[in-house]
Amino acid sequence: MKKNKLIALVIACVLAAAMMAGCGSSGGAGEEAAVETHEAPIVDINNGAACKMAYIPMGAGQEDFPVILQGMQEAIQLYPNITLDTYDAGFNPSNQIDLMNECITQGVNVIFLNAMDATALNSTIAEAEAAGIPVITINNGASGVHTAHIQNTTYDAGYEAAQVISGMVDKGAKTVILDVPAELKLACTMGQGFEDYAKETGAFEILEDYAQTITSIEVGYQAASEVLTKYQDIDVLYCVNDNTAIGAAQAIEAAGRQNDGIIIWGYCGMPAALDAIAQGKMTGTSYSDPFYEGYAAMVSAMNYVQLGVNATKLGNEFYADVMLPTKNVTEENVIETIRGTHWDMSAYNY
Amino acid sequence: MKISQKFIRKLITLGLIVILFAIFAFTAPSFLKLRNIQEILRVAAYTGIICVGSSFVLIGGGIDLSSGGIICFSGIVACRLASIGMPWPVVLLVAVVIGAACGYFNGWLITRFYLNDFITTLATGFVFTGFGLLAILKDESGTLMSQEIKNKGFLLLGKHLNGFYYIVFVWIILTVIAWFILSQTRYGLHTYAMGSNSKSSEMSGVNVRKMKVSTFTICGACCAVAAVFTVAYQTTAYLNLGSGMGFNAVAACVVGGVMLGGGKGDAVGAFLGAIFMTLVNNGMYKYGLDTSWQYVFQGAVILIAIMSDAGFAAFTGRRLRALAEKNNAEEALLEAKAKAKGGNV
Repeated sequence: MKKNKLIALVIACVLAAAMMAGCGSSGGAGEEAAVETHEAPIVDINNGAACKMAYIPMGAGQEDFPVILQGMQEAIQLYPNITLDTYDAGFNPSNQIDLMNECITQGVNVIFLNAMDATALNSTIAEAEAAGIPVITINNGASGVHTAHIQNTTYDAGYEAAQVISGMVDKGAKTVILDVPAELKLACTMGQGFEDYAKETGAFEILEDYAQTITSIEVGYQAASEVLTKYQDIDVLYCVNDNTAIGAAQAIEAAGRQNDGIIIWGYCGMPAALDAIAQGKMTGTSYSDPFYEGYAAMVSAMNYVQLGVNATKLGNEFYADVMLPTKNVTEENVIETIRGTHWDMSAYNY
Repeated sequence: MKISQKFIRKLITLGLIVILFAIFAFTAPSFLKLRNIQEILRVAAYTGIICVGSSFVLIGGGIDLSSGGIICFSGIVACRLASIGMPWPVVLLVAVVIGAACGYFNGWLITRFYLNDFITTLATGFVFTGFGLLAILKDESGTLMSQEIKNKGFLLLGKHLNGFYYIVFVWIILTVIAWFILSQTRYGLHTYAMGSNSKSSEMSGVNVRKMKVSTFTICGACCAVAAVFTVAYQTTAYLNLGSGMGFNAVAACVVGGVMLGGGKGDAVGAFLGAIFMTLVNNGMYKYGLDTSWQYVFQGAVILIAIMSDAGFAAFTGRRLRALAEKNNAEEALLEAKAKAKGGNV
């Protein structure tokens, strides 16, 4: 057996050395090899040329995914020659990378992406662009150069919400921000927008910027219960997500403080939040309709493929960074908003 | 020539891989593209390296679901070290030590406190992910920062040689080493013995506690290797790194013939299992199926693989029983003949 162990050790050492030599060699084809770049091919979609597009959301469970998809499909309904495939990355950046590679292999004409991580997808995005495929990120962008990014404003939404709320409360109103999880703070800056307005005007006294673990009704409930216990005197709960705001409204009701006049503001304009505003359980939300994000992304994509535009053609530069505005929805305009929304309100009686 | 059951079992997985490959090759135009084959191998290598480690644990009668947490923790540490310019051998070594330490901790907990592997590793997986969260780069306000690695020497690990990623070579090397250890050494023999019957092997002089701890340690080290190469490919690490990989690796091992409960399977089976699982994923994306059908397809193909394995096990079981009955009958006949002659058997 000693002999066997010795053989095993020798084999292991030889293989490890070979592996290190292989990895360390500077002549590897992969090392800084010049990437062959292709400009995006021109696809004459108006004359029936086939065009294949792919949409990779963070996951099929992403709340705005069906509405974004609806917007995209609406934009291509007169183009039977355009196919749009969707893939579920299961909220995992590794899966998104694999799916991006899959789309490059298939040679799709455009990739839409809700990037789970701003950095992890950069090399694959660069590969796609180099292969002549325009990459359009929606809401959650990537730091690497790609053709376009489309999203609703977050910083401005927070800033504008603060402006509206300041008209409802006294100066120096005691406020807690129920913020996004720490890893999303860079991409979702509505909390920052709110805070900056508070600093500039002194309209709010920020008691705490509470980073949640995830944004959900349950976590919003727990977070709000905690801050309600911690701070007896609160005027505003600014929530960076509607789910959090709904959870906060439930926590206020559970604490028997629904008559304290605490202002609860959300972000997104989801059906449950619009309903809560109509019922007077929430004060307002920064409403956005993901349908228009999807529509805008698709219309942009159709233009890019017709013109053969992508980041490579533009000398490796961003082509467009589109910011769609949000709308402040309160009790006054909520019914009108519900009537015009593309969110699925069928569960509510309006 | 007598073909062993083990070999037939591998042929089944190999046959399924060939069938899937043929179906995809004939029905999906982009499947046979060189880039696609390279991608299949890269993704399979990631799962496969974890499978190498998991196969030790599974054959030894355990299960490790903390692989995802170990990948997350060691990957984030590797990312931090690589970002400050550490040479790649140091980064790899530190990550492997961390992975091995996590695995050792798993094994120690399980053997020291007689805990259930499944629940323990599920729990430690959360602990390791928590360590990853502690280790990840944050700004002054606690916001997690996405850290892009610019260390060219380290990033080389994520590159390829003539189109084949280095991680694929590492996977093959580790599989060969694991095969050798499991089939040619006393350690391997003890691992199988422990997985088949822990009490009997302990009574035969095998130090089951040490063996179990060592299998978990190997698994942790393998996870760290997979993490380092993945981080080098992705040029960053994040909290979801390795998420779900524990279950994926176990599933791939089982598809490859490594038995849940221990005592059966080998590294080559785990190797084939990883290829099979990746092939299923890769192939189903080619048809533009609706997301829900992608899941149905994926699950159905894995079910078919497991059912064919169960069918084979039932068939060989029946054959063995029939052989045993035949032997017993022959023995009884001989005994009867001997008695009739008035002699002794």
